[in-house]
Amino acid sequence: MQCILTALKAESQPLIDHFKLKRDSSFSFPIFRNDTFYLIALGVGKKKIRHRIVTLYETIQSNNIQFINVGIAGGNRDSTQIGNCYFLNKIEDESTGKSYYPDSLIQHNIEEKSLVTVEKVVSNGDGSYIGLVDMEASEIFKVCSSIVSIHRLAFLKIVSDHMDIEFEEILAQPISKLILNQITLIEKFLIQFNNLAKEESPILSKNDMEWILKTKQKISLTETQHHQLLQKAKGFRLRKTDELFPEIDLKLPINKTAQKLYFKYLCEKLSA
Amino acid sequence: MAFPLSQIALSKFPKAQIIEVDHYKDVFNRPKQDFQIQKSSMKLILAKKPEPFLYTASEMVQEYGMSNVYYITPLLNCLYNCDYCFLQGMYSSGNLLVFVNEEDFFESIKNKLNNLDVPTEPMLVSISYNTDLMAMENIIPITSRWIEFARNQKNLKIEIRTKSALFTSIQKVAPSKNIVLSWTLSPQEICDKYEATAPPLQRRLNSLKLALNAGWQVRLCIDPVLLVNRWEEIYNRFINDLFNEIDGQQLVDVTLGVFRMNKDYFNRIRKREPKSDLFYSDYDIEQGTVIPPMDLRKSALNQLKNLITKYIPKERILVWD
Repeated sequence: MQCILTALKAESQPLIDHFKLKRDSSFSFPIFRNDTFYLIALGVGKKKIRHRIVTLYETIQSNNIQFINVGIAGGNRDSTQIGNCYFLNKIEDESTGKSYYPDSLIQHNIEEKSLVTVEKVVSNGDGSYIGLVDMEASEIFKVCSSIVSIHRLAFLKIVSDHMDIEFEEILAQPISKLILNQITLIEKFLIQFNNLAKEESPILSKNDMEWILKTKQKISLTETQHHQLLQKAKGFRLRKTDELFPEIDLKLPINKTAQKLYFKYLCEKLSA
Repeated sequence: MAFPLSQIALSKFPKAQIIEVDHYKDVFNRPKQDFQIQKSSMKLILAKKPEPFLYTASEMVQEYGMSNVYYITPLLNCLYNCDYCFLQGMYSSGNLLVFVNEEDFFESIKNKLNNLDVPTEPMLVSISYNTDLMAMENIIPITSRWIEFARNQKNLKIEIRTKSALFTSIQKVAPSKNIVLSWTLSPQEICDKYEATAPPLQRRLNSLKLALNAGWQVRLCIDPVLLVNRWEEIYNRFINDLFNEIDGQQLVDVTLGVFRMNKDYFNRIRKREPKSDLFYSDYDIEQGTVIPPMDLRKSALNQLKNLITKYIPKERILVWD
């Protein structure tokens, strides 16, 4: 599952349209979704970021969710081009001085840049910042990295201006068009990034887990035995990818000794 | 960036994306990293190490009956990614961290040499405890620079342990009596399954033979021995084949040890659900170390030691049991 994070409606709309996302009205703030993606509209600045991300995360309880911030940023005139998309490899929070470093783990053809997250729109900062500026990235990193591993975060920024115009003028830019122009690149990145998540697939399949649960119930495993069985089952599955787990004898066991013996027998079977 | 090692490393990657970091710990030590995912796309971190530079050797390291045993960490993490490696439990990052202030390391050893606990014994320093230096030699020539440093020190022995096939990268360096090059070799079945990113057995063996022929002191490490199914057959054949290719008498010694790991590292790794059956086997815990049951390992190591004594005197077989 991937969750796209945007600030402005003009950033969200082309993504909502392209990925055919529908509003999920069970949330009190704008969340859009389909079977593959969630999109959270965070609003401008840091204020609502924690509440909205954590609310979604706690609601959907997805174990392998990835968060991708897609949005516009101001860019240094000498090192960036308006309309170009950049992958962030360093995010500095101007107010705290703290830096964050997103992992760059997939082969992509997106130029990498550093970014400074500022508190107010930079309208006369042309030349003051060497890379990019925005108003959300550091908070997004801080919040998301408190709930998921760092390798599940990515930041794509499209330059909308050279830090030489007022906020109202930024909004008057064809922001949706800037995003739309990069939609193929963004989609390709999302697919590659999602492949990384597949590497994290658990050792035990859904069927394997059902067998463990059934075994736990049938022979009344203690918590320690359950944990031991899980470890044995993982070893078995890694050694024998296609074999079924041993059949459980449905008649057994009646008493504690028989239970222990049967558990031992199962462990030996799984270790073989 | 002004350090020679930084310059060398940067010259090897002219197209590298350079990210400036305030302190290496901001990246290397941060929480919520995934060691294994990062191993699939390792980054090179160049940093200046603060003190301490020299550490007393852990009990996990074979001490060869010596008193002044230390290790240093010129590089953290390894180019390879062996299933059983303790580094994945030791560090939160899978990236490679090179400490470029090599002179500080050299100085710390010089100082210690003047102040040894047991001055009558040599000082033994492992410089590849947390890494495989020789594997990195074509990227950053730390091995050869350490050899040149050690060559001129009295009472110093340096062990450089490796699985590398890159002896050719130091072939032009003259051997030194202060250096022991140690190759960790495993049966090809073990290499395939548990050391997939390291060079295959034959290439490591070829490197070891080149080193022996060039006059280096060479140690052979069969460590860890993995007590997998059919281990007797696998290791017996491996040892016999090995000593058909090399003259055991030429080796300084042979070390033997089973898979073992600090309990905290082991648990930390297992929590991340590694895709290696090694972490789901039966072990005992002895003094904070996860290790195969005593009967099994003692009998296995005895059996292997007896076999190796056909090729090298038993006094030169060092067993971690």
